[in-house]
Amino acid sequence: MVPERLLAGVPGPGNEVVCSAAAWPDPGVLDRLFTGAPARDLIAYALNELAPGRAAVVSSFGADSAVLLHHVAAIAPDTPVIFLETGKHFDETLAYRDQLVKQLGLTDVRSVAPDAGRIAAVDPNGDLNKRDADLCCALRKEKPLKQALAGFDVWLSGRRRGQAASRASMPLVERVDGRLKVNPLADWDSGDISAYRTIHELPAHPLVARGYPSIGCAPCTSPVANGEDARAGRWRGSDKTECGIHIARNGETVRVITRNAMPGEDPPTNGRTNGPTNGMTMTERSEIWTKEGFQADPWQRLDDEEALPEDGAIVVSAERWSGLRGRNTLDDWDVGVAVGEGDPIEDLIPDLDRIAMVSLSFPAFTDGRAYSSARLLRERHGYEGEIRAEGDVLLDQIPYMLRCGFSSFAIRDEATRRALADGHIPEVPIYMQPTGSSNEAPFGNRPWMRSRS
Amino acid sequence: MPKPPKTQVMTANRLGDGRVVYLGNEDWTTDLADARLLPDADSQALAEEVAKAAVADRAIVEPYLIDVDEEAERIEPVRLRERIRASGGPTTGSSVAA
Amino acid sequence: MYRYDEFDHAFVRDRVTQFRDQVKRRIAGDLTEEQFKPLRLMNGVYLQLHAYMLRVAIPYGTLSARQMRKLAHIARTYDKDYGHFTTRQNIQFNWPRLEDLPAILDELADVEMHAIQTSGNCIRNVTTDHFAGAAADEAGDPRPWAEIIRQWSSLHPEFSYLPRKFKVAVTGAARDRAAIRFHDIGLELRHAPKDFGEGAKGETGLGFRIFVGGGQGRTPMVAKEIRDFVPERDLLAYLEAIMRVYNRFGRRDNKYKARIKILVHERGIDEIREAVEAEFEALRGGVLDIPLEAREQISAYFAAPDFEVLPAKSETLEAAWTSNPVFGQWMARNTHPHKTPGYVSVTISLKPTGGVPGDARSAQMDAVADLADRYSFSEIRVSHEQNLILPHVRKDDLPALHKALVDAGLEAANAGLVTDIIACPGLDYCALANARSIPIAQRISERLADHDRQAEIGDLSLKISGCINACGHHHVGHIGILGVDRKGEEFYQITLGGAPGGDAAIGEIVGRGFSTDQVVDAVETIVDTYLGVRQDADETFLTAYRRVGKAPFQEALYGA
Repeated sequence: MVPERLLAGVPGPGNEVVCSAAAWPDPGVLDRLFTGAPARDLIAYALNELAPGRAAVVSSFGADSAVLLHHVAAIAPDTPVIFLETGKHFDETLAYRDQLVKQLGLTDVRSVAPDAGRIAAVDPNGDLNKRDADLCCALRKEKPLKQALAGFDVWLSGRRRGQAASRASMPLVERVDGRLKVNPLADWDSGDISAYRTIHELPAHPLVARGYPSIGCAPCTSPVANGEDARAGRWRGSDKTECGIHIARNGETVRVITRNAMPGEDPPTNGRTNGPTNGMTMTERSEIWTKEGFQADPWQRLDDEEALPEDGAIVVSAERWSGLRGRNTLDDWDVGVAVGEGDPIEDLIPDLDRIAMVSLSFPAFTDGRAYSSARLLRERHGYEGEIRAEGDVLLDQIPYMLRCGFSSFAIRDEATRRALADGHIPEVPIYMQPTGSSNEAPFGNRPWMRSRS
Repeated sequence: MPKPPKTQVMTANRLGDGRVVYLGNEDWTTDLADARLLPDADSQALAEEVAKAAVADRAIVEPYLIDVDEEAERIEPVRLRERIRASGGPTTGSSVAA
Repeated sequence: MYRYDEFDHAFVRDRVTQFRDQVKRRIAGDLTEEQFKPLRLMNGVYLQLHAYMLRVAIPYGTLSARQMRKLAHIARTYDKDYGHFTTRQNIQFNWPRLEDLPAILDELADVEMHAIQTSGNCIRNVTTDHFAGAAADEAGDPRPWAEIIRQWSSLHPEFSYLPRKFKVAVTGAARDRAAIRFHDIGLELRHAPKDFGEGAKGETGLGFRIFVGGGQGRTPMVAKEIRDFVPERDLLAYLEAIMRVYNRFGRRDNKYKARIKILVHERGIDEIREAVEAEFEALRGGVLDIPLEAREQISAYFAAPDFEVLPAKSETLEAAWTSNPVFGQWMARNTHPHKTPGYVSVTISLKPTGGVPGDARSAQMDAVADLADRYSFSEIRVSHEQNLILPHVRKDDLPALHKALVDAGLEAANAGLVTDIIACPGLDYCALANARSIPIAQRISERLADHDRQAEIGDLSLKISGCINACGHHHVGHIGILGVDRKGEEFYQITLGGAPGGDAAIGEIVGRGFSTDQVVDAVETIVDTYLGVRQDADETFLTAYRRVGKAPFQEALYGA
């Protein structure tokens, strides 16, 4: 509830000022009054006092939407929530909408579709987004929103200043097309959103974990890389950054300049300059170790210039893979890809279902980068193929490699081979941290403990 | 013109207990007074070979050559660090008072 | 205090077995020294100038009387009857044999102790406020969190071969006594900065302000804030996100540029934050989630002992204070406010005049264990200032405690004074050092021994490192002394104005270095200069230095 001191002088039902569009207070006054107050105070004020019955929430049910909706549900779950059903959403978004509506107990969610007649006339093939993204947004978002907002004097939006350069100076309250637009989370940063979601146990949009911090229609949304602006994945490849519903009529869009993605920058090198497998002869590679013991290595390593065999299991460099991946079929090969030491594995992600083996290199046994790469492949990207450890692979590190998802090991060190042949794997079999791997099971009396399964 | 080589002594730590040892005439010794003086490049290269073999035999770890003062009456390392090592312990403190 | 259950016992025993096997394979020749070295370091075993050295973790600085007696036993049985308490809440034994190490580790396991990750390029022993759970200015108790982080980081399969060592410190108090801004990750337990309302299922609204990229060494840096609030239950997910970004992108081409502080410095905190936040978004709510019940389960171990209901004022204490000035001096310096009326925390100084900072003989360790049993619920703490703490002492017991400390030679009344010197082992022990630290500490301590003079000088921290690795924390000493090797001779460079806590600052070099013969005089000159420029007795050295700058000190040291 709004403290008395905040209400003093503010027109509203409490002090007999007629609440009509013409008489509404200067949004700048509200902005100053609610700056620094909890977001729920402004939301409660907007819903209960500023325009009871004539305030709506507009939500995309995107990455951050749960926080505003949770606030609204706690104050007035029957508040109208407008969702623009553009017909182009990700299935995950629609499922997330249904999950949130149920969990939060929202009772008046209005999914607003564009006019079918106009769609048939303007975008009969459903490919307008490729020809004219602005027109597509106008057809599927701006017009339907305008109609849906008819009869409302106030609309609440979950936009935040930190989301994009184009929103950096957004006020808490502004006047747009004769309505008050309230942005109660304007000064929340991504950390606040994240903390609030944890404390109130709000589910995440399923696409966030897959690299989409901002989510709109499926054709015009792509993941963003580390270091990019959170909305850089919207209308990627064009200078469009907003869909039109958040641009004032005389507004200008601001071009968002992104920095280079972190993994693409010069990867650190590790002193040694040999490629991951250059130092190895065929004989050393002829046997590999897995949990089942030593066995002949079915994989044939090809240099980048070497001719492709007719069939068989081949391992190529990541560079060569980038040439092969365009083929419709991989003929009769099983293809493995050797990732250069320390190189990011992100480039392989789109093709993981076509890659039967990923080989990661340990240029020195003290170089631990490949442990992270293996865990990302297994746990983040669900890779189920073989992950091989190559290079300086020694006995005492193998238990850690197994835990991180490595499944086969090319071993040069004689003492290591001997010990493995004897079944000697020196491991502490109680784990004090979970990896999310299927090789381990909950154990003991604390949620983070595991043991080998 | 290359500088004439300084007289050196080969030192290391014993694998089992980490104690400071020097290459003597016969074997490794804990007493610097018994160390083999290595006055030239040939003797120093030979000592390095001997040390390498001793590392492989797990007798010693981390061998290296140190400069010693030829003028002194007893063998005296040039660097303070090596003088402290040769003395068998810290210059002060709990182990000295003990 | 935390107590091992059957799983913790099994874990530590299995680690000892694993290390025994590694030692065997080293002696058998299956492991070369190059292969063995990272393995032994990750179990706290160094090869120093004269012998092996074993660094034992004192988890976040907490010790029971029973554990202290075991440390005394190890010093007597396997070493030269003493141990050295370090600046990172560890204890070092300087003379163990390699073959004895598995037996020593077994003895430690008997009392729920270990040497896991006290060295190596992994997540090191987590440190915290030595007054945790007792301090009057606490938002929350950092010890359960240090314990949770200790467990999560132990033998972590992904983060045991990092680019470089990695140190985490946690504080829960308004005044930072754990120097969190000089750690790779610093954690401040705090209330949420925004009002998020009442959380689901009893969520407390406590969380962490997180700093990243601090450190000392050759490139000292004050850590930067990466997130102002991470809720408690997300802490491990956030730490894992930071660690993963560091493990993947930290430099491995140059060991002097491999710490996370360099990554943060070169890429900028904003770029690192975005990478960490993206990783965190993918990890949060997953297997690293820490539900409330698990937090309560660990916190229960740290419940306050059964304090008596006592008046805040103690008649016994007042009487002793007025009748015994020596007791009064000790009481004024070495006791600290406690959150429970009638109790204080007590510093047992390991800095007697002319002594070796941080060293304790086995008899002294036993004596402290007895005093802890008698006066402090059997609990002892180790501070990063290399002193021991009895955290919960009744004010009524202080006169008797003081008398017992006099009998044990542990009565130095200098906590926080200029002779409460932090010093690394230096060239007397350390294979990395360039100059000796201990003899300098001893001579300064003798020169400034007079208690009245020290009391007049007031709070002044003096910290000595024997090389640029800065184990003696010289960068954050009000007066810092760095030993260097100049053409085969020991020289000492002096820095002024450093501070480790909430007022974090890196000391400034005052001018050219001093020889072994000059350095003690130089320190005295600096102290006298401070006494001359201060506005009144309440203006501390640090405040005065920040007001007047280094010019008056330079003038006094080097002439106009």
